[in-house]
Amino acid sequence: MEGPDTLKIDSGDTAWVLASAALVLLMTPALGFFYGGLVRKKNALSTIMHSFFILALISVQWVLWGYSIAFGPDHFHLFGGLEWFGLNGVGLEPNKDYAATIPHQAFMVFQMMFAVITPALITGAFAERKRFKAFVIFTLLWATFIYDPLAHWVWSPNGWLHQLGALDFAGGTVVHISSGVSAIVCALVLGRRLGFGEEKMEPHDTTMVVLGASLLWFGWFGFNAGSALSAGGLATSAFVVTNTASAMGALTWMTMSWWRKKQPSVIGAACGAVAGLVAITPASGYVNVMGSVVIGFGAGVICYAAVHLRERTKVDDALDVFAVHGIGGTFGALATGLFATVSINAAGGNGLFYGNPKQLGIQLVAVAATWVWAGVGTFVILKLVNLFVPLRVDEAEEVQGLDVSQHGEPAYAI
Amino acid sequence: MDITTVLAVISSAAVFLAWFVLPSKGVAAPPAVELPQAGLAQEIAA
Repeated sequence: MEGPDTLKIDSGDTAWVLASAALVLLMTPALGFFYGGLVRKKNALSTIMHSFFILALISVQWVLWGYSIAFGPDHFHLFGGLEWFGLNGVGLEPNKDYAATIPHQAFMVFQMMFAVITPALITGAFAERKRFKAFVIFTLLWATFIYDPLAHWVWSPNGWLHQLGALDFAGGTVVHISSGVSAIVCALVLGRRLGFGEEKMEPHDTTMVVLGASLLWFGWFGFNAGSALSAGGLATSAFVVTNTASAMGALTWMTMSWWRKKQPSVIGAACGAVAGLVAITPASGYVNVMGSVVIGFGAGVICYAAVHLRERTKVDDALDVFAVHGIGGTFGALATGLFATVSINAAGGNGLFYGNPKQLGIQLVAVAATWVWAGVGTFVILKLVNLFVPLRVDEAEEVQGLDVSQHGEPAYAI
Repeated sequence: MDITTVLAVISSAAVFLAWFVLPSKGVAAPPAVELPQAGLAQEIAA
């Protein structure tokens, strides 16, 4: 049992985790701009609103019951109970199960930002056609019944995947696979946008896409390096591998598009950077810099290929959330089972390339469990919501655009 | 050199070397889009 000395608040660690929470917060509006630039002009504001609204909604859900379900006292190794409802007992002293050198509320608010951005990632799949009211109810249910238990499985010391030995430093399974798989389910259940496959649906503002991707890259340092929960060597390592994988993802995707379409794509470079960031997320606290080069490269190739395969299927995952987050997250989780090394993090484990093939098997179990939980759960929630509120807007509303039809506000006055 | 470093060198070399053989000439721009006239321009045109 740890003595009281190990629960002393460290000002450096606390400052870093709070700053990281703010960095991760920025990622959600950044995602709004990334997605907002990729949609047509008539849906720009409604797409940005998805992310901005979720920032507010989940901030409240998390302090009421979300944090308790995710990190509260364990029940059956599956979910936390409601003992910490309303942050009851979640105070300013450290919690030795999660972070021994920062106030418990600092850990709570850092985790809040992960809970915020995860459902926001899904919105790219149903952009330009989901009814706002249906989106609101869906998001609240999804966060409560999909995200919160999944976070418990992986990050609570009593969660079953945690106890199995699954490695997920910053959310490859919890954040990216869950949102990516849920995204493809949303796309399938909602159906294609009007005119999909018949008319061009080009991004309306590429500058906004690049700005959004750049801010995501910036915020991701909080996401990954902040997950060290301390300001030291592990955070530094996570910071360096995060930047390297993102850079390699951008270079690789851009090169792939240059090869296939004869020109280096700007949107491709932005998407590649995001794919690299997604893939390094679960691995960021366990792999060395050379590992991150390979992971960034793999993410660029695999996610680029996934986008093109999706195009052949005619499934309208509008902004390719599944290809980037679902496939990228799966690749990253499995790559962690290849490249993890205890020379980076003694609390982690070795992967296949460092003499421990079992880790890859554990990662496979974690990936499969996340796919099933997120996929089935999202389908059930969508069907449930559809009983009370139609998921899609009417045809006339979709033609008009969601900015005006759902919010009564056009994005641009000119 | 461990296997991770070998893979990193191969993958980064694949990307860097590809740039030597990829097209260097631009592709012809699509025809300019004629913007709809509005406001004063519309009045002048009328």
